[in-house]
Amino acid sequence: MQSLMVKNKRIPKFMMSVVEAKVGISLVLCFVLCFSCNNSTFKNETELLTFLKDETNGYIQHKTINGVDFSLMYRPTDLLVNQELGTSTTLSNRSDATKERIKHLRDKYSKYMYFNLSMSMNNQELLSTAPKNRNEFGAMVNQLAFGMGDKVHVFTQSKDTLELADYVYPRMYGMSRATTMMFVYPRDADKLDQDNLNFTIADLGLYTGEVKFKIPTKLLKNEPTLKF
Amino acid sequence: MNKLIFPTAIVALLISIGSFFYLQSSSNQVYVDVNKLLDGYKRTKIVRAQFEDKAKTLNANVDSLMVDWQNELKTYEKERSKMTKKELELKQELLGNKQQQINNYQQAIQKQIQEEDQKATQTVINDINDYVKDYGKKQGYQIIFGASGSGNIMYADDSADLTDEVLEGLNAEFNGEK
Repeated sequence: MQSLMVKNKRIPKFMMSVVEAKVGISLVLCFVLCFSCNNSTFKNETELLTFLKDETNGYIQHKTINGVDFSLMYRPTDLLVNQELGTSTTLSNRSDATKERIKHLRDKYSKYMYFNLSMSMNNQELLSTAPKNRNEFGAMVNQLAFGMGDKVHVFTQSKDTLELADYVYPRMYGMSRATTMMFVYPRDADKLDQDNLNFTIADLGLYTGEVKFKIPTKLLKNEPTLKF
Repeated sequence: MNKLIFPTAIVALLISIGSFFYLQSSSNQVYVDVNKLLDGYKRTKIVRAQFEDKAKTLNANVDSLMVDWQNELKTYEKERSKMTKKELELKQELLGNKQQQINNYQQAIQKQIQEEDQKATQTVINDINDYVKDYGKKQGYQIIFGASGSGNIMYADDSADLTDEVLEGLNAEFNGEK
């Protein structure tokens, strides 16, 4: 083909390579735009958890300070939706009522952001290793069960603090390898307009100082989903 | 074939420019002066002031207990001539016990002050470590040394010193400017 006809006008031959190059670049740009902003969708909870636990994806971060291992993982909305739906809803028995319920649950849970914080020493729960006597044990139980709201803070880069909605600390009585708790914060769009959110854990008497995790907000805005 | 020459040339040019900058930055061996960072970081001053306030309050508690005890001792010395043998024994025992309690309290307070100091220092160190790690990743450095003045880096050219740049970024981040 020597030349192109556009609206009955003939494009000269020397312009052909420029036009084709432009088309090529546009196609590449479209491809990049389409796939760079695409959030991941997973078939089941196991696949989603595998994705979340891969540190390169940014949804989980680890730190070790003075022998204390800290790990912070973001829990996407769909994990909570799936948890509430339970095993009764599988792909095969989806009905309109279920779809309605999924939508309702997504609306309900997407108002908040959920973070799982794990802390351990020597691969054991903090309560099993840190306290040296009964008094310290009692103080730490009290701190973990009721006082973490004063120790954990989430704030924006411009130091605007998010108010803690709630946190859950399930006692595992030494059966777990880490002290894990879930923190819930409201998902305010205006607090997510900066690059990062800071998640800090003040010293719990373990000489770690204040430990900070930076959470990229683009991961929270573009979180992975489950295919229900 | 001619059609592909132009886009291929652009791609090759972009790759060569990118690799030039990447290789240039990552091959540099750079360092930061840890003491300068600790001194110059704004949070250090704030955390130190908070710690000193706390330490002052704790020491003040010990001092006031000590003054009480000394006053009690003076009163005892004034009045001992009027006391019976039994009263003297009791008062001496009482003062001895009180002194022991104050000593124990003082030791506990000193331990608490040390712990607070350790926590405050660790908080600042965590911040610096996090920032240097992020900075190194973003700038593509393979390694950033930390000079602490104890001889781990004996000589480095001024161009390898990132301290001022890192300190500026660290303070900007603490002030919420970026």
